Amino acid sequence: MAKISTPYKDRKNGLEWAVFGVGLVLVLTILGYLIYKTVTYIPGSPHLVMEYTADPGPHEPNRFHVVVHNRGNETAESITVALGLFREGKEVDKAELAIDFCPKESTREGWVAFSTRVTPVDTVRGWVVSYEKP
Amino acid sequence: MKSTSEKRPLRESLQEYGRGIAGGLLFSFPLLYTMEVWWAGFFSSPLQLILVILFTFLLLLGYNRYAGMHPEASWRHVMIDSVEELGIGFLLSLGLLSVLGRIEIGSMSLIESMGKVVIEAMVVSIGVSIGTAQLGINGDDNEEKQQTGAFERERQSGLLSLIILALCGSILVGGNVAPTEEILVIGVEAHPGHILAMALVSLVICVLIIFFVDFEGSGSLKNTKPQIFTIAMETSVCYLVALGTSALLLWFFGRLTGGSFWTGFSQCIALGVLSSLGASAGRLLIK
Repeated sequence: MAKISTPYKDRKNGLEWAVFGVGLVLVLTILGYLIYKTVTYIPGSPHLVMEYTADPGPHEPNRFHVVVHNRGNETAESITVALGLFREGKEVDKAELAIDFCPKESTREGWVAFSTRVTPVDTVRGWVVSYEKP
Repeated sequence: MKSTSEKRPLRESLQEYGRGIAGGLLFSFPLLYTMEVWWAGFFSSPLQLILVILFTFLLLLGYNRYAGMHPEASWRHVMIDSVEELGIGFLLSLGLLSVLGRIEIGSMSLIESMGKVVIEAMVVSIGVSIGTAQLGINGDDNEEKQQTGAFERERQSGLLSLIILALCGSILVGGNVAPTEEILVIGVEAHPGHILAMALVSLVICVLIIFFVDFEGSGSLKNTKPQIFTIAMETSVCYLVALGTSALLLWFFGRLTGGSFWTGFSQCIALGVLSSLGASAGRLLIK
C-alpha cells in the first residue's frame, strides 16, 4: 500500500510483496471455487435429512439430540421438525424443534425433550414438519 | 539497480497495515454485527458472490485511482494495491467472523462460510483502502503538500472521479443499513407524502454538504460562488449515484424481489436518504 508523497516511487518491501502474494492467491482461490460452484450448480429445492439419538441429561431424562442436514441445493428457512413417542402404535407424546435456517450442504442441531417417560418398548419417530424458501 | 534505501522501512509498512485494519474495522463493524448480512452469505448464489468480488475490486481500483494513491501511480501499482487490500479484507473478515462465532468448521459448509466472508469483505476492504490513505498523519512539508494538493484537485475534478468517490461513500454509509428489516418496514408503511419528503431531504443534504456548509474536503468550492448549472449537475449526479447504490444494495439483499414496484421504489428512496449522505459527505471525507 502506498501513502501519498511526492514524487511517486514504488517502495514496496518484502513484507508488502508477501502480503500481495497471499492476497492474490486468496482472491484467485476464492474466485476459482466460486466459478466451480457456479458451473456445477443445479437448481433445486432443499432436501432435509434428520437424525436423532437419545441423549438423556442429568435433569432431562427424556431428551433427544436432533441433527438436521440440508443435502439439497437451496437454503431452507423456518424449519420445524418433530419427534413423536409411540406406545403400542399410538402417539403418546410429541416434541418439536424450530430452526431458523439450514443452508445448503450445512447442518444444524438441537435438542428436544418429551414430557412422558420413554421406556425401552416405546418407539420414537422423527419427521420434518415444514420449511420455507427464503 | 535499486538501492536498499528506496524500499519502505518495515515499521512504516506495519503502520500502514495498522491504519488499513483500523479503517476496515471502523467502516465494517455495523455490518459484522448484523444478522441479515450473515444470512445474505448463504442466500446468495455463487454467481452473485463472484459479482460482489468483481464489483468491490472495481470500486477499489476507482478509489485508489482517484483518491487513495499518489496521482502519479501507474495502473499496475493501483491494481497491485487493490489486490492487496482485497486480500486483507478477506483475512480480516474471516478472522472477525470466526471470533464472533459466525463461522464454524464442521457444521457449516465451505460455501456458507465463504459467502459470509465475501460479503463482509466487501466493505472491510474499502475501509482498509480508505484507512491506509486517510488515517495517517500528513508529515509532508508545505511545498510537497501544495504540489500533491494541485494534483489531487486536478484528478478529482472530473465527472468520473465524482461518480466513483460518491459510489464508495454511498456504499460505505448506505451499506450499513441496506440489509436491515427497517428499510422494508419504512418502505411498506410510508405514505407517498413521506416518500416525497425523504427525496427532498436527500437533495437538500446533497446541496448543503457539497456547496454551503464548508464541509471538510469541499475547500476547492468555498472561495468561488458556484453557478446554478454546477449545483444542479453535482447534486443530480450525487443523488442519482445514491439511488443507484440503494437499488443495487437492496436487490442484492433480496429486498426488491416479490414486492410491488411501489414497495421497491419506496425502499430505494428511504435508503437514499442515507446513501445521499454517503455520496456527499462521505465522498468529501474519503477523498
